[in-house]
Amino acid sequence: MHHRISQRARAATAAIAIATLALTACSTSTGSGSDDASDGGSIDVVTRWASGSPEAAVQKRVFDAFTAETGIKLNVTEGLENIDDQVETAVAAGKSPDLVIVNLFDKTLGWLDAGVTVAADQYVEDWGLADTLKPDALKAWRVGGTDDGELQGLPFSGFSWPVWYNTDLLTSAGVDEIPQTTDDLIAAAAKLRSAGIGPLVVGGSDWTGQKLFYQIAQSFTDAAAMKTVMQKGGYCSTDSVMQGIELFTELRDGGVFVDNAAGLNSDDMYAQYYSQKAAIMSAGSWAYAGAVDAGTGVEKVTTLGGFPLPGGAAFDKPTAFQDFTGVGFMITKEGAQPGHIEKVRQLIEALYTEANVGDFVQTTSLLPSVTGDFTAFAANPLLAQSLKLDQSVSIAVLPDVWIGSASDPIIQVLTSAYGSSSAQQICQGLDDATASAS
Amino acid sequence: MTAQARPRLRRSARTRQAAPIAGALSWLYALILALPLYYLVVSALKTNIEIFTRPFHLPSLWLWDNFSTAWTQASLGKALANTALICLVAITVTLVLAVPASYALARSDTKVARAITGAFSAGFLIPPFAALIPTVILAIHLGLFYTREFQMLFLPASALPLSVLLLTQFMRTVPSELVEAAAMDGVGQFRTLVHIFLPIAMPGVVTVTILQLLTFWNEYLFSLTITGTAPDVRTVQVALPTLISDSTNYGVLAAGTVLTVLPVYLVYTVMSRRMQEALTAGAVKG
Repeated sequence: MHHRISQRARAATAAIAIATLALTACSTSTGSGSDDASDGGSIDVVTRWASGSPEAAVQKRVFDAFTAETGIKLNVTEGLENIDDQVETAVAAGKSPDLVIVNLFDKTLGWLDAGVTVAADQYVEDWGLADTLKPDALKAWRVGGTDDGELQGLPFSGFSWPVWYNTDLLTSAGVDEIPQTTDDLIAAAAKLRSAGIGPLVVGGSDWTGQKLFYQIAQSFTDAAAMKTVMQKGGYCSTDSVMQGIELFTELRDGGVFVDNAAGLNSDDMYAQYYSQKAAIMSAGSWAYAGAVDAGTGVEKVTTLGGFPLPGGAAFDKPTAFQDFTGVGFMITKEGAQPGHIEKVRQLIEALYTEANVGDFVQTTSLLPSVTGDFTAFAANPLLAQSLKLDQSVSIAVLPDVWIGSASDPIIQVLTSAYGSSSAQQICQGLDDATASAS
Repeated sequence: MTAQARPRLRRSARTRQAAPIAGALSWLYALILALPLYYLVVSALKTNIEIFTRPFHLPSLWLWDNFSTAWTQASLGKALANTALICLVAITVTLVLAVPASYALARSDTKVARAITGAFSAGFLIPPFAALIPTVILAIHLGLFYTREFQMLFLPASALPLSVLLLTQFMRTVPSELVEAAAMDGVGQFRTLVHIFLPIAMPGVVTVTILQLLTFWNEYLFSLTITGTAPDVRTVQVALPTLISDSTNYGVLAAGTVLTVLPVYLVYTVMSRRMQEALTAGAVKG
């Protein structure tokens, strides 16, 4: 028996050795920065649009056409959830990409200061993009969100982030009008609950809960004061913000959120709304395509609007988010080198052509950061509604840029807020989270 | 009936009474283990809505396309080949290094041998996360950052402590009479290892192979950080998360997970009997 095993072991060893040699010989191991370019040379791109995202298909179409036209090969690496860490490690290893397609959030906000990326102001002028890019989009990508801040990258993917109302469910529960005030909302929630329908569904344990909380918490505060509190803290000591936090707890205790909201995440939220088990949710334009794909027809009975206001609010119309910090193009120091920047320019210009932006609008329902009328590309009924949203809502301050790296600890605080925390516990938790991150 | 027979009968009756309970508990345990697998497989054939609203129901519409979508979108074919290559080389290197080391340690009972065994045991004390930054720096200095080759060298290094300690225990079970007889016949160290120790310790080699295959196949942190996400070098564990986005299709993700688990499950099924035999043999010897 041992003899047989020994023979088998020898055969297996030989097979392994042969297979290893063959596979090693056949394989290539190029990483970022490799230079196996075709005639036009190559550039390295790290992208947030990974294979599973709807944007990936459009991105591939654009990249393939670009390479076919220019001969420039694109070494594309997919950035995962921790794309910021990935890029920083690559830079530290001397394998910096030339271009990063990424959201403006958390660590990426520090890349310009840290010398990972370069300011894009000059490129906007030199490449003739100054009149093409929307002023709001450019402002969103400037340091501090001000007109005189340095441009951290080139904005591409904007989003609108309205509140979704399933009018069929509202009507069936006896709610004939979309709630305009928070009192209306509490009354509507009670009727929906009586009819066995979930009221407002939200992922209380993740970013969706965080954003909705901030939308409510700033109801009585002007934008400038809210930005300061988000950035530096002072939730407990700012009366108008405390009023907003108390409003949040009133809505929570008034049954506005579905049961167990603190235990839900964004996926639960989408599933409950798309399957028409809950009547209201707050979700961005990236979810328009998913609503149609769900196949329940929910997009046909959805009206987009804003979040209802309390009496004495700082806004004159219900609030929604809208911004251009979705995805943009950040040029690295490597990409700004003389041998690289010309190829980067060609790629960016290709991405900004009307046809390619239109493809993104049509396929992924993004809000374009370039000027022009893209309504012809808005095949999705929700996107068509969304393009007219400005007329019916006030735009609230999106917290991402202002809370920076406090984002994750704040989500932990707010998960408790969707549970049973008092207004005082919530504001104290937010102040602590902000202080610990700064 | 003798006095000695009575207790044996009582035990036997008790055993008979306990058998249905033990059987029921075994089935319950098997069910608990099978439930996540069932959830994974049925999720692979569903839409997002069904996954979240009817998690344990059978799919209302069986979406077999999820598998081909996952395969194409995440380029799983290339990723599986990369992982297979890394595992193959890493396991080979591990065994090539661990087998002679274990042989030497099993045959020696000196202070030095005990110190070396202790050093291997200390390898368990280093958490992988603590080793990440030095390992990244090492990869950069060796010029092997963003390559599979570094992973092929690193994984055996991390696997050696467990492999050497396990194999040493197996090799210590080799009867000394056999070794003495071989020595009297003038057999050298290499032939003693290959013809006497290795065949007897083969269940141990199989055990080490299976354990390390599972570890190497599922390794994520170092693969992501050092090997990277470029499609031509990334492992299957790094390719799979590319299916996650702001609007993840969980049916496709689950299908991708099934595809990545399947190869290692098949290998485990083929080799697990040998591993069980090895562990049972070890228990009897112990």
